[in-house]
Amino acid sequence: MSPVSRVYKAGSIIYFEGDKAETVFVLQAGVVLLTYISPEGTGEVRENIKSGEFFGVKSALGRFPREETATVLSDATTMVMNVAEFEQLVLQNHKLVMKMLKVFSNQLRRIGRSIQTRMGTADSEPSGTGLFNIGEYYLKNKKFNQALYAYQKYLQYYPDGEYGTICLQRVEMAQSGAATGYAVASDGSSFVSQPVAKPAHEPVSEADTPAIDGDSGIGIAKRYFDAFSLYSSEKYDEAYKLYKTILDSASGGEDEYVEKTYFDIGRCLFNMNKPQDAITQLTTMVKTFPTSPNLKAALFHIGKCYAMLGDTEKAKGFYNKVRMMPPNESINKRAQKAIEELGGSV
Amino acid sequence: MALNEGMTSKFGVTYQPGQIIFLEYEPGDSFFLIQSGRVKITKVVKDKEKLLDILEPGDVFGEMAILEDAPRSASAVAADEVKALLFRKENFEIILKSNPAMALKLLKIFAKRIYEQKRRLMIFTLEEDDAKVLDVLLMLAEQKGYNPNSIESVELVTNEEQIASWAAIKVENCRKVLTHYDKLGRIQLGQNKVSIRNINEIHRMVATKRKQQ
Repeated sequence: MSPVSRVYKAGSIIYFEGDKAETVFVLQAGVVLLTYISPEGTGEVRENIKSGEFFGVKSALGRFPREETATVLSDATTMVMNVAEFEQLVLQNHKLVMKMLKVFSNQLRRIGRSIQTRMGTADSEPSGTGLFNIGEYYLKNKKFNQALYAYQKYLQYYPDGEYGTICLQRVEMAQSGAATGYAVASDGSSFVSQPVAKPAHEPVSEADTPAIDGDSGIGIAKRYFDAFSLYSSEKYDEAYKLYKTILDSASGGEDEYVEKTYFDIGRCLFNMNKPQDAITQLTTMVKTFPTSPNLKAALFHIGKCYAMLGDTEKAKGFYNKVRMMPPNESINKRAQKAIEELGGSV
Repeated sequence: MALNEGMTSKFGVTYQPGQIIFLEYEPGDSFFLIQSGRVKITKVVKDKEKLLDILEPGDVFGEMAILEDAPRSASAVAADEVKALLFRKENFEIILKSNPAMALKLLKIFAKRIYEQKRRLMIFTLEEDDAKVLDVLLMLAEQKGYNPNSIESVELVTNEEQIASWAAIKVENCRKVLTHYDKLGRIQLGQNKVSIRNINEIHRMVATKRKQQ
């Protein structure tokens, strides 16, 4: 058998939606209209087939029922072939395949986006930010190798990107994490911020390309991570001492680590059963760095300190601040829970 | 697909279990054909990593980044030791030219995926949660090759989280619907299992809901 020519009168139907699909058509002359209900639920879609175009390919190839109805608008001549014949044709004509692949690929992307929008997972951020945030996600979840991969790819593809400097530091943290297995704090209130919409801080150095070795920012990052490792392994006294040296030696341009250090010292003191000292530290941090990504976590800890001191009213006050502070994330819920545990209502 | 040894030596790559093949948002200029081992496709959705698919030998992935200039829409991680062929954008056309069987295979994969994706999209055009849940069950049965017009019982390996995710509704609402239909005797809930008493019954209920809208 070989492809046959078939003539249709105007007004006739070549196939109906739902028909079994066994053949592929090429329109040679005349006009054919495809109609189908849009999968997005936005009504009927009408598509004119032009001379030389294929139709009925997807359903025949995919072996599923016709998804559209093909109506002849003016007398039409078509070439009809079965799937095996179509395959033969494709095997001899790679340009045709490329063209069809592009059309199919386009449709797939469009439908994929439609699905993602409805599921609320559409990619709305630029790729660089997306890649950086994937790294943040993995670092937060202690998947250090994945985090490392994401940060390194970011640096590879976006060497001048807005997260370049912070990425270099994150690479170091992820490497250290992968090597030592020291965990990121499980309460999520560590140095890993929530997905950020803008650079979290200014670049450390003025140079066009950030230096990796000997940069004071990296040095302090190393020390900070060591201290953080101690903190993570619950060696609060040792961590506290190391953190203190960071505060003593920090110069300008290292605000990010100073801020984190204040926060961690606060948490150390809390864990060392020194809530009053912890409050002092955390209050300083909140006042000095009012835009810190750890702001909510710091206020939450102040609340915990007051609860430890038995001052339920103040504790509730701080928890409530956290609860009301947008965006609504898991810490807001934890704050609400903490208030309820103290016997308060929200 | 006939692939000679020359292609394996020229384009063959190996990944260790757990190794990242690519991450979502990464710019991509290559696609893969799995020769052995399995590949997990995941995506971070609302601060949670979700498993979208597990691919097996013979499957192709990463091809969309080649045809359109778009970053990866999901991550691919080796589940076992994976042997694959890696093709780059530059030689995509050349490879298809020299290997039309692969081109044809890709075309078929795309046709099938478009159909499956459209089917998923249809679920969202339903308004009520219970219609969505029933349509998910119907879709899963169709994917297993059951004809929705046949009067048959169908056993599905799935759970309420998965169904809720397909339907894009809250898990607790999904549970309510499933429990309701379980009480009515239309379905039976088990451990990671949902049995449909009569697939045609579900098909008719969904069709009625669609018409009412």
